[in-house]
Amino acid sequence: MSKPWMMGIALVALVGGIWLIGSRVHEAGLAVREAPQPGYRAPRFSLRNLEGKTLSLSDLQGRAVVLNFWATWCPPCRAEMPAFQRLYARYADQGLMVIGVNATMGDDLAAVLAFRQDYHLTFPILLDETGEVNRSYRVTALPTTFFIDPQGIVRDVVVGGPLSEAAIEARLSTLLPARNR
Amino acid sequence: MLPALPLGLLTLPTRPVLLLLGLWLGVTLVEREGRQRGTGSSLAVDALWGAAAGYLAGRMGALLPYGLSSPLDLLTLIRPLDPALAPLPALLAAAGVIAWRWHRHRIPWRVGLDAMAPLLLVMAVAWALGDWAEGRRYGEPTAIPFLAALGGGSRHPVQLYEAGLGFLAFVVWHRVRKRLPAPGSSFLLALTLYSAARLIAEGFRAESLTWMGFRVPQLLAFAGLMIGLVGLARIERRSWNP
Repeated sequence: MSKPWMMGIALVALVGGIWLIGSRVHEAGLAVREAPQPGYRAPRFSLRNLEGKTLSLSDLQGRAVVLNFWATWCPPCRAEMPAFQRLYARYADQGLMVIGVNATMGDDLAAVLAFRQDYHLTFPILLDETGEVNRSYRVTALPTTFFIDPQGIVRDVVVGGPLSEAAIEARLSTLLPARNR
Repeated sequence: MLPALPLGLLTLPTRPVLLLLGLWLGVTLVEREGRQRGTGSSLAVDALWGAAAGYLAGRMGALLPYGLSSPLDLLTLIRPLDPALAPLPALLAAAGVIAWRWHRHRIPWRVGLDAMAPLLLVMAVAWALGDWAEGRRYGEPTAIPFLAALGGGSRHPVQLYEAGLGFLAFVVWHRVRKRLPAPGSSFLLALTLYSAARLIAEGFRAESLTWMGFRVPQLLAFAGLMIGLVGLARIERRSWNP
């Protein structure tokens, strides 16, 4: 190896090493700002469910939340709903909460009620009548699913669907680390 | 952030579109490099086989541990909308398939790697832009308003740094590669440049896999940088002392 090459490599190693050490990870704590993207605190909201009761995201602190934005007229939303129901039934006692946020501003309430009955959904269906929560989560396509950890931090976002049971379960492994396989 | 591209009645997911565009451009460049090295278009076909095998293995690695509840779920393995991908099985499968095809067609591995170099650089840029579009692999908090806005509110747009540095690496590689005629040197140059870009950009990443406080991608990039530089130095010495 020639001398200029050796000196060049040594210099790159030195500068690279300094940057490597200087950019070590320090415990910065979890994000405190709200944004609908991974690593940020999930935007807070309160919505009515089909029984007229209000449910807030903050009520679910300590539980892993799968937040699914959907509508009855959306075929992939319909296709993935049974998978959400099965996983909710399987993992609810381990701290999983599935919430379906219906885009009620562009949907029909009677159709939502019929849909819940037809698909035997037992998890809460919330009604976004003004579209405010859809906007605050920057939902651009249905379905869109947010995976939120027990600390309220968004861990994953999937735009589009239908999500298979395996694909949802793959993401639950980071949200529910203690769950039984 | 732009997770979906609204094109009239059609809404396309941005990340898969960017990855497909990157693959198309990368394979086109591989074909051109292959022709210049006298291997025709077979290296581009090898790249496509490698990409297909890597994608399938990456999807299987990410999803199969959780089981398939119905035969219909098999379709999700090839579904481009879902970003879940296990990188190690993807890389191993792609490398395995490409190595097998090179062995079968008797393509010298150094020549093959040289031709594949642009695919590595172009896909790195496409991947980073796709991450930015979906707001994945975000950066550390920053108080600089312009950067924070690009990062979605308060974060370094680290994916854009990665894409910008990756593009710069591609431009440098494109300009310098013809001065490096020895087999293997073009790939080593790409490895060096990509590793340097990744080493810098990863320093701004908020969530990295860590080992003793070090970011694992940065450690790998540092190793890649050193391997690339030492390899280039050895090739240069050999060309002076044949």
